Amino acid sequence: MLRLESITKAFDNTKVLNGVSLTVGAGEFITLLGSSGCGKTTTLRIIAGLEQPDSGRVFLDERDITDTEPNKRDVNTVFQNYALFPHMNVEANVGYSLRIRSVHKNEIKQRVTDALRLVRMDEYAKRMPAELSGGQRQRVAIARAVISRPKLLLLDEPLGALDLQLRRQMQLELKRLQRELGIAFIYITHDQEEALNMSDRIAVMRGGLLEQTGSASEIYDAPYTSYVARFVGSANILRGVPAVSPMTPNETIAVRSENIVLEPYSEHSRGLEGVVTDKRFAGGMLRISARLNLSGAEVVSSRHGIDSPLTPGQNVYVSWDAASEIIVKDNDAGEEL
Amino acid sequence: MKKLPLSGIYITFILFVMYLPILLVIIYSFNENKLTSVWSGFSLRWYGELIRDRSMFEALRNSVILAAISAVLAAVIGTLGAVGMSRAKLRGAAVMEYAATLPIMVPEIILGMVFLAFFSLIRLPFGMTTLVIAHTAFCVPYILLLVKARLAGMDKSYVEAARDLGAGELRAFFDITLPLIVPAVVSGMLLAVAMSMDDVIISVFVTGVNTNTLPIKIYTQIKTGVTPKTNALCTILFLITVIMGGLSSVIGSERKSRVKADKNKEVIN
Repeated sequence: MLRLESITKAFDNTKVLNGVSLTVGAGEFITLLGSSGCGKTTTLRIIAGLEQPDSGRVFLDERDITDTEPNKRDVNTVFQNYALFPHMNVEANVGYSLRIRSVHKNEIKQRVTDALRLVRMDEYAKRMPAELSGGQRQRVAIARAVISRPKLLLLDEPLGALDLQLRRQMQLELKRLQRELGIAFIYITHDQEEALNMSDRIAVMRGGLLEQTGSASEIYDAPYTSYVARFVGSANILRGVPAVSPMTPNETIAVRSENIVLEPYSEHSRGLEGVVTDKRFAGGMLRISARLNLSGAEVVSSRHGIDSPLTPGQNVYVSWDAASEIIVKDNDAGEEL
Repeated sequence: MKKLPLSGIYITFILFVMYLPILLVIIYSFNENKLTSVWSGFSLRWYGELIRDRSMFEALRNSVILAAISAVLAAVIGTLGAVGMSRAKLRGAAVMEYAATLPIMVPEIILGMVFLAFFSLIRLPFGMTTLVIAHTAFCVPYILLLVKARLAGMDKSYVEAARDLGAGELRAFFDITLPLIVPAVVSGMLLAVAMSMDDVIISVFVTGVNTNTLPIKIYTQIKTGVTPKTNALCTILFLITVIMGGLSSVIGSERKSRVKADKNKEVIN
């Protein structure tokens, strides 16, 4: 339905997009996942028509819309800061796109009510945006964007400003909405958990390129590169350790933290020698870090129960099942994520 | 930290020096005596005489018309200029902005002379027309600056959202940009009216023989001696200016207080 063909874009000689190609199917929920500055917002703005690509083409339903003005595209956006018009109440905000299309008053009223009901905001129709909480504004922004039934909805980190609990709840609601409306969503986030929870497909972006595109399980279970393995599910990248799998020189292995086993020295334990460096709770589970004596690399294990007797400073054997080794292209030097 | 008592004294002193003359003028406008320096009792006599004075009334009328027309013209020109400047990414934008706000910095006497020379060069008859042109010219920068500041502080995603939802450029301007800058335009206009209402120097240069504005009238009256009538007139002018200035700053914060008022209503309900 939407097709991007090798889009490039530079701002003041800084290349932001280096040839992004992407296809989105009708009714699909696709997430552009990447850290800040990877070009995901620029990609979205080019699809919306708010930014012109330097080269490359944008197709919507096989029609070239690269040079079409934003108001002539059947694509709507939920902005990061919601961008509700501050001088219009909720009702007027939501009905804006219908007023522009000169839809009859009564029909506008009906559709605004429906759209507000869809996001459970029908009681707030007369409020001004300044009188709403962040989560409520968010819902109004979504209602405003979907009321004219666009083919494609673009969402630019719409949950970024909400607290964790509200974010989880909104994730479910967005997913429900997308199913009910049956329109395609392109969703932008830097939160891998959000991406894994909601998406039919995830496109991991880095340095103005799509590094890997696939379903959540493909991205998680079979990352192509060490960057993707680290960014999605923070896998351990184990360079220079003896691996079972055959590899070429520019490849390395990645092992998920849930597959890393740490055992105290004993007659029966085997593995690489290491020292426990840290033990802490994160994301509802115990994460124990250990440094490998062989390479000095840090590995994290999350498969230990709360009652794990391991303590920092303790010598351990680090091991993993050969089947859990993922061979990835080694393409990042451990930069900050 | 405790506040120094000195700062309180200082502020009182400054306010005293600034407002004492004005206060005296206001008080003496109610003086019954013909001599401005002798107080002999409260009276509205001079206000009555002021109203009966035809030439004075005409000057007032001229001033009001002049202020209104030039404020409106300046609002249109200044707003268009500010909007244009905020969108165009021209190389000379900084120079243009500087040039546009220059009239605020150039001494009035020079502006007056320049206008005089210019109008006689193009043989424009002196009178209301020349006054309007001159006043519009020196009022534009105030509106331009206020609207520009408002535009700069405005989130550009509002306009983008409107475009995204189907509005053409013009439609987005009238639906979104204009309503959001109206407070700045209005407060700029009120400022312009206040500036126009009390301008003497430029007006003296560009007015015709038969067109008196109120400030010019007062100025010429002083030559023949200050009467309590002048005091009465000054009091009225001062009041108008205060009201204009007050309105101008109130409108700036009006939207906020309206939201607050709505909230209060809700609490009551």
